[in-house]
Amino acid sequence: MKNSMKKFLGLFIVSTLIFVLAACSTKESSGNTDNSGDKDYPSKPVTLIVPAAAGGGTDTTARALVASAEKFLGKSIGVVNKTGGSGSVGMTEGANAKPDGYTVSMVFVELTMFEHLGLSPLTHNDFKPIALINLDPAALTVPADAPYDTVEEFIAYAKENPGLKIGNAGTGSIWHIAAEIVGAEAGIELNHVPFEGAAPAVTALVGGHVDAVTVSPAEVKTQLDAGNLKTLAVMSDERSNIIPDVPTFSEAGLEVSNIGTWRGLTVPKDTPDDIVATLEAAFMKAAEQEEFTSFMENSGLGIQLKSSNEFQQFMDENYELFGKMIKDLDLH
Amino acid sequence: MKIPNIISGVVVIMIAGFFYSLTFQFPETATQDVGPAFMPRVYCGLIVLLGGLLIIQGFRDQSKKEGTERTIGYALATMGFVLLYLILIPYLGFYLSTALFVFALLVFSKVRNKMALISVSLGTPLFIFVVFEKLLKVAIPLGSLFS
Amino acid sequence: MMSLLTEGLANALQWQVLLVIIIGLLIGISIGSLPGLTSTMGVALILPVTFGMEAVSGILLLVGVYFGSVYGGSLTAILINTPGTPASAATALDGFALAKRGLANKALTVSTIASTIGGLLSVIVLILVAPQLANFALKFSAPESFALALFGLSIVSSISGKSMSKGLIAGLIGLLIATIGLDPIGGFPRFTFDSMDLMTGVNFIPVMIGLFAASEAFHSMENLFSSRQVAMKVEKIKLKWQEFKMLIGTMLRSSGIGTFIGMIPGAGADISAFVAYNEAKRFSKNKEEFGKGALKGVAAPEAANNSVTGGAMIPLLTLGIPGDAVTAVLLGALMVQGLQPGPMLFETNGPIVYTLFVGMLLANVFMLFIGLAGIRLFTKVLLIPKAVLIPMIIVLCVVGSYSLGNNYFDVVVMFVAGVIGYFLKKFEFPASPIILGLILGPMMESNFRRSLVMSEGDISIFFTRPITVVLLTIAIITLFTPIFKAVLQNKRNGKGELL
Repeated sequence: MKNSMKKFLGLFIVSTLIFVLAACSTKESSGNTDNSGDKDYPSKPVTLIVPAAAGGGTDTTARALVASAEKFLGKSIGVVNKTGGSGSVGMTEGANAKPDGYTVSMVFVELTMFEHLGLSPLTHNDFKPIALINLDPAALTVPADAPYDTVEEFIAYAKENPGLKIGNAGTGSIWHIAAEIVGAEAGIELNHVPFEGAAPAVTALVGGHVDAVTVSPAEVKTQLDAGNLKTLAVMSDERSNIIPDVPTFSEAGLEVSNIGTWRGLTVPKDTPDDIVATLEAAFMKAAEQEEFTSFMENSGLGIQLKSSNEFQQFMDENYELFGKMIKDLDLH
Repeated sequence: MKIPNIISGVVVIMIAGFFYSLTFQFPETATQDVGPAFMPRVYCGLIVLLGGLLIIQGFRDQSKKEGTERTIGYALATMGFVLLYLILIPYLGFYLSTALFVFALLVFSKVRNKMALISVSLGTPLFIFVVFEKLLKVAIPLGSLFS
Repeated sequence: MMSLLTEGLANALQWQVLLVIIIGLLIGISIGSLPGLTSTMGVALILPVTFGMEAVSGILLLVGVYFGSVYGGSLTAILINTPGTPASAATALDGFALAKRGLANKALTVSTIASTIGGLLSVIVLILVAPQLANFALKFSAPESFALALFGLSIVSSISGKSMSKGLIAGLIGLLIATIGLDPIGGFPRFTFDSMDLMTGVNFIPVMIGLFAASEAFHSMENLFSSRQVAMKVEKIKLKWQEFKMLIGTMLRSSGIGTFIGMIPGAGADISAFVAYNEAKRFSKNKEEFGKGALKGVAAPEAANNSVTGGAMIPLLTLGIPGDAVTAVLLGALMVQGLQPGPMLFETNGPIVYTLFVGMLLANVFMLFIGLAGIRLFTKVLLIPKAVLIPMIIVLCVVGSYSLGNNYFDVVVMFVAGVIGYFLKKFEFPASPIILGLILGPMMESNFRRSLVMSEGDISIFFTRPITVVLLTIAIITLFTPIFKAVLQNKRNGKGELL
C-alpha cells in the first residue's frame, strides 16, 4: 500500500507537471478580466451560446460562422452548447447574461413560439437582435413515385383519399404548423404523424411509411439528389436557391403564409447600441465570406441576411403570426 | 421477515401512487392514440402490483438476517460533502470549489501525507482545466465571485 | 469491386492517412473513457477541425474518433464501474465484477479483442452487402421500432440479479422517469412540476453516471472505513487461448446483433450491447456466472457496441439516412466535403468510398494494437489508493455531467441519481434495469403511439406486419422464460417466494 502510494504520487506529480507545461504552451490566456471599456470593445474573447446540441444543423452553422467572424471581430469567439427545453434553457441564459456584448446568443424560430405554446415566458423582446443569418422555408416533399407532381394534383388526391399521413418534427414544431397550414388552406384532411425531429420523419418518408413531409429543403436535399423524393412547393415568396426548380406555393396556386425555420444572433436587451453595431458589422461581413457561403451551400442551408432593425421587425411579424396560428390550430 | 423488502415495497407503491394521481391532470387527446396518461398509468399499475408482491415476500421470508456493519454514516457524510461542493460551485467557481472539496474529502478519509493532500487537491482541478477547458473547450463555470 | 478495394488500399496506406486514423482513435478513446463525453460529442467536437482537411483524411479522423470512443467507454466501465458512454453500461455488469476479482487485465483484453472483431465484421458486412441490407432497414416503421424496443426491454429479466421482482420494479421506475418531460406525440408536459429544466425530460446520461459511478464512490467511501475493506489487486493473468476459443461464438453472434441493430434507424450501441448481453446469457451453459464476472458478459456487449459502428454506416452511406446522432454528424461532415451520401455516392465517388472502407478496417486493427498496448497503462488506475481515487471520480462525475450540455441541472440530476443509487444498492435493487428503461422507454412509447396515429387507432397494425410479429414474440419469450424458471425453482426449493 505504502509503496503503491509512493509510486502513484510520483506518477501524479510528473503528469501534473506535464499538464502545467501543456497549459502554459496553449497560446492565449483567458485570464484577461477587464470589463470596463466599452470603447475598446471587444477587449476579450466573446462567448456564443448555441442552445442546441453539438453537431446538429444549428451548431454547425454557428461554428462555421464563428470561424469566419473571428477575423472581423478581432477576438476569438468560443461556442458553448447549452441544451434543454427545446432551446429555451440556452436562450434564457443568453437573455439573462451581462449586457456587455461578450455573451452572444444564437436564436431560432422557436423563440417566437415558446410563449404561445406555453413552454416558456421567453420571447424575442428579451433580446436585442444583431443579425439574421439563415432562413429555410418549409417545403412539401413526397416520394418520387407518388402519383402527383404538383400541389394541385396533391390536393385533388388528398380530397379523394382523406387521411394522407404527413410526417412532422414533433407536435407544435415549426414543420407541424406548416403542415397544418397547408391542410387548412387547401381544405384537406391530413393525418399528422409526429416524429422526434425532421430527420426521422424524412427517413419514414423514404421508407414509404408516411405520404409527405413539410420540412426544409436542407433536410431532404440528399434524398432529392438521390431521386428518392420530390419537392412539390416551398412556403416562401421566392424560390429557394437550394432547389431553384421547385415553385412556391403561390406560383402553384395556393396562397399560404410564409413558414420556415431561421437562425439569427442576438444579445441581451440592455446591450449598448454601439456594441450591437460592432457585432452586426462583423457577423454580416462574416456571412458573406466564401468559406461560409460554400459551407451553407454544401449543407443545403439557405443564407438570408437581415440587419439588426430588419431582424427585429421580422421577429415581431413571426411572433404575431405564430400567436394567431397556434391559437387557431389549438395547439397549446 | 425481511424488513428492507417491506420498506422498499411500501416506498415504491407510494411513488407510483403519487405519479398515478398526477396523470389525472393530463388532457384526454382527441386523436386516435392512447393519450399522454396511458403509459405512465400502465407503469404505475405494474409497480404497485410488484411492490405488493415485494411486501408479501418480505413477510414470508424466513432467512436469517445478516449482520451489517454500521458504516452508512460515512457514505451519508460523503454525500453531505458533495452537496456542499455543488452548492459552492456557483459562488466560488468550479476550480476553487474542487480543490476545497478534494482536500476536505482526503482529510476525511484520513489521508495525512502532506504531499498527497496538496498534489491531489491541486492536480485534480488542473487536470480538469487542461482536458476539459483547454482541449475540449467546455465552458467551466467560474463562479459569481470572480466574474 | 476488387479493383476498387485495391485502389482504396493504396490510397489509405499513406502515412498522413494512417496518422490521422491513429490520432482520431487516441482522441476517441480518451473522450469515450471520460464519463459524460459521448461518441456524438466527440465527433461533433472534432468536426470543425475537418472542414479544412482533405475529404478522406477529414472523414477518417472522425471515423477514428467514433470507433475509438465506443471502445473507450469500456475502459472506465471495467476499471471503475463508470461507463464512459451509454454503450458500455452493459459492459460494467461483468467487467467491473472481473476487475474486483483482480482480473482487470483479462477483462480489458477481452473487451479490446471483442471490440475489434465486432468492428471489423461490421465493416466487412458494410462493404459486401450494404445496399441489400439498407433496403431491409427501411422496412422499419413505427410498429417495428416499437417491437424492437419492447424486445430490448424484455431482457430486464435477465439483468435483474437476485430478485426478479426488484429488477422489474427498477426497470419500470426507469420507464416512469423516461415519461417526464414533453409527451412525444401530443407535446403535453408530463410530471414537469412547472420546471423549465424538466421540460425536455431527464437526460439519462447524468442518471447513468450517478447510478453507476457516484453511488459506487459513496459505497467505496463506506468500505474505506469498514473492516471488510479489500485492496484492489491486478493479477497478471493473461487470457488463455482456451478461454478465447470459448468466446468466439459469443463474439460472432454479438457482432451480428450489433450490425443489425446499428442499421435500424433510431436504435444504437447502447441497446445492442444489452441485447447481445442477454443473448450471450441465453446461449450460455453457466448462466449463474453472469453478473459475477463472466468473460462472455464482457465480450458480448463490447463486440455488439463496436459492430454498431459499421451497421450505422450502412443506411448512412447507401441511402443518406442517419440512423442516430453520431451518423447525423457524420452526414454533415460528408456533405461539407461535397460528398453526397446515397446510391450515387458509390458511382460518383467510388475510389473515395473504398478508401474510407479500407480506412475503417485499418481503424479497427489499430484499435486492437493501441488497446492491447495500453492495458498495462490503463490498469494503473487501480493502483491509485481508493482514498485518492474516490474524490477524483466524484469530480469527474460533476464535470462530465456538466459538459454534456453545459447545464448545471444535469449535475444536480447526477447527484440525486447517485444518492438514490446508493440506497437502491442497500436495498438490493439492481441499477442497470433503470438505465435500460430510461434508454428504451421513449423509443417504445413514442413508436407505440405513433403506430396508432398512423393506423388511425387500429391495433391490428401490431399483428399484421411480419417483422413486428416476430420481434414481439421473441420479446414475450425473453421476458417470461426467466420469470417462469424463477417461479419453478422457488417452488422446487420449497420457498414461498413467487419471483
